Amino acid sequence: MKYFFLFIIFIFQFPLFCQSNPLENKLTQRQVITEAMIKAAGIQTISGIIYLADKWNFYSIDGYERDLSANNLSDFQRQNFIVMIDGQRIDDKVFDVQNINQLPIAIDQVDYVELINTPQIYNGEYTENGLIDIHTKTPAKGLSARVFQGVGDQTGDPGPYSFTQYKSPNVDKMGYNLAAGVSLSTKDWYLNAATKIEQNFATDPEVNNRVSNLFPSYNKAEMTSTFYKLNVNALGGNQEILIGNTRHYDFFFFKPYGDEIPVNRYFKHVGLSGLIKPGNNYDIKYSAVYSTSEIGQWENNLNIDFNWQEVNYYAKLEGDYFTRDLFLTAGAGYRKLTGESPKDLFKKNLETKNLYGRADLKLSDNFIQSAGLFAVNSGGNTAMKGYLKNYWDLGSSGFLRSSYTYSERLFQEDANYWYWNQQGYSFNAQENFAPLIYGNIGTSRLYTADLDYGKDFDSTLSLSFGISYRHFSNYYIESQSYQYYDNQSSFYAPVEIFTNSNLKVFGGYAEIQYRIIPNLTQKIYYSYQKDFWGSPIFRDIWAELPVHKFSYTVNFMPSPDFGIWAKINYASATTWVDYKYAGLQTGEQYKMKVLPLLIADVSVQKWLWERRIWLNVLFRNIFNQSEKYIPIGVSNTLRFYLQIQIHLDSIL
Amino acid sequence: MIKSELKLIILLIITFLFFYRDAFTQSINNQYSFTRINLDIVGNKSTDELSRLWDAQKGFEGSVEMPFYYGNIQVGVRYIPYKENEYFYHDFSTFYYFAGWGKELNLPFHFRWYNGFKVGAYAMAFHDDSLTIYQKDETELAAGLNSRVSVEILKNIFLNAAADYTAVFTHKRIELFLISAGVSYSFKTPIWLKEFLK
Repeated sequence: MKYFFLFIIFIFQFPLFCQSNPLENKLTQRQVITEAMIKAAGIQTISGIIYLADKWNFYSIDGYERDLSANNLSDFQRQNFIVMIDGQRIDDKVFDVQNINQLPIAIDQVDYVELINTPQIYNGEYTENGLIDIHTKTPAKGLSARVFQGVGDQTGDPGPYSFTQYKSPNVDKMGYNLAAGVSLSTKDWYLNAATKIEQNFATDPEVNNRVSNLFPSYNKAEMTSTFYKLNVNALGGNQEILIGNTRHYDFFFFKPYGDEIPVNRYFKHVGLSGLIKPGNNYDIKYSAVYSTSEIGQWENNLNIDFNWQEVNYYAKLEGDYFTRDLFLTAGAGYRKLTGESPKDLFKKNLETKNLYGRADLKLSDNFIQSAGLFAVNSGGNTAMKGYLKNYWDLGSSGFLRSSYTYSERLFQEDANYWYWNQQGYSFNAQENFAPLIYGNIGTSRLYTADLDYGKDFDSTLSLSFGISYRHFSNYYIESQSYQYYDNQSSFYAPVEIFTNSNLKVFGGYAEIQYRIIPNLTQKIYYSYQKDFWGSPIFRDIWAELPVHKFSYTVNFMPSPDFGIWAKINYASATTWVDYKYAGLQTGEQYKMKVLPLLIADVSVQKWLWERRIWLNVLFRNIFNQSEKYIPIGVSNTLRFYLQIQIHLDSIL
Repeated sequence: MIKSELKLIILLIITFLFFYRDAFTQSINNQYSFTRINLDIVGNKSTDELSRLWDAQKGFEGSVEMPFYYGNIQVGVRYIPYKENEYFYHDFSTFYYFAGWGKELNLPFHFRWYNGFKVGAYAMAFHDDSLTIYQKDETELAAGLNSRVSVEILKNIFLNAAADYTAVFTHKRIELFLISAGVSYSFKTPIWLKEFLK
């Protein structure tokens, strides 16, 4: 701890910090998804943005919440990607389970989203499992108001045949989303206040059968959020206070349990962050966050109650020095996470400290290099993370970018159920959820190498492609061979954890963007990844990620107020070894192998009243294929979504 | 085997491409220049299972139509009630809220021929007091093609005759073949409405 404070003192005595880093823009392997792209695709929820993330994989059990894997940096078992709103870290997860729909912002507040796809230091965080930074809109001057309403419906209802021999299950609505907000803005400050409601319905038989086992009365999960943001332009930069909370009555799929558990989740966040600019070549960035994430009881037949709360204190201080060709960063962070189960009188703290430094150098007119070092200390253990990135400007021949990283990760950094279980916490389900651990869970190591080439041939055609390598070493992998209980439609299996698991993965991608006519753009994207060496259990788990992915996107905007967007997505088959017995036990209802996905979507958007009203209709999966991501998940077919957004800017 | 959805999509694409040839020759300055209100009586000529189990009554369709890019856009609603027959399933009413797009061609002798597609929400309300509130209503996606011949009998007043195919994407598909006849009135779109639509 003393070293931490010494470092803080050191930072304050040293001329510090900067704001936006122009060198970083070229060095960072990232994807930016803009509001225009989100609108074109007719997306209604925050997690829906991942549909547009080329290098991220996801799966969904209920069609609403999504588990993510960024650019082959992790399998689906660890959900440790970092989430930010306007550069401020948001920890809405409980254990290491994240549902980014629980972020207290609605889709119509999003200006753009940055996805960081390789390990690096970003806003004081090390992005070894990827990062999502959602930037909210800056409101128009004066008083403004907005409303958003969206609804989705899956086809395949019984209709009038419900009362005949042709009766079939009711698949009902996909979701209902409502949001509203007001803002007040002047030259020097603005205030945003917003609220949202999201509902999701467990009507698909494959989910509803399990949910009904614990919760027979109702099938609706509901979430309400409020969000406030105060931004003040002072001290040479923006100073921001973000306050948000979310209450979520959810059918929470908890993998160790094997099924959905009705829970009452509550998340609140209060954070202050900003940038101070004491000189032309220095700036200071700071962030202080208090947040809590609770998972409590929602009535259920077995009286299951996690009775769990995580209280998070987080502070960061960073300084930058910069010139035209140089950007230096040094910073430190401190986090105290308290895990608490009041009924069990369980309360333990987990402290994490980090120190980091980064240097971006323009070594010549056409060559930029960046190096970063990030040290994490917790419980007397230290993990080192670092990277070296290069960017070559090849002039008319394009550019070449490389990234080499090495990341150690402590078990404490995951702060997942297994960590707290080892500290003495266990939730109250009858089954024994203490895992059988083979060996000791130690510090894991990840080596990555990425090489990208890109070229803009002219203003209408651009091309990029790249290759990647991942080496996971000393990871711990969960294994559960689920057994199906027909009388309850439920799954259960004891958990085994295999330590010292290793894996090597090779990948590649290619992307072409071509503008046929000024208002018609198209994009073709293909990616490949495959493990080629490693521990058998790790290789089995990695098969949950598709080997091949292909997408074709076309966006036609004949005028600024009208557009048609279409996308075809293909993902190759995936295998979920945890469900290897499920097919046999369920008469092939839940098969271990999930068939390839071929999904085509069409979205039409129209602005009205001089861009005050925006209408959208989205037809997803128009070929009516089975859209299924995991054996026990929903099989979504053709569905349609409607949404309306009203933006009344500067009404006073 | 090509699924019915795929067949419908191919038909929609062919319809679009058929008119796409002159798509860029028509000035988009013509957009929203006139408004046409259509009122029609609709009769069911379907032979599917739905029409066997219920008797479709005469229905009504009202729509508003105006130039939109390379053709005309329509928004409207169609109402058709279904009565029990010898199978004694309870009555229900259908409301089809749709938006559509198509192209109208001028023919000799003041005739016009419109071909296009419609997409919308097909709402069904079941009339039985024994049903719960959740069972009384259901909404499903519907889409289809329509063709209309009209003749201008008086200035800005038209007589219409149309045929319509609508597929409702219920678990067991509903396929409706409808014919309709009615009148239309066309007028110059008010400036305030044009401004709103832009």
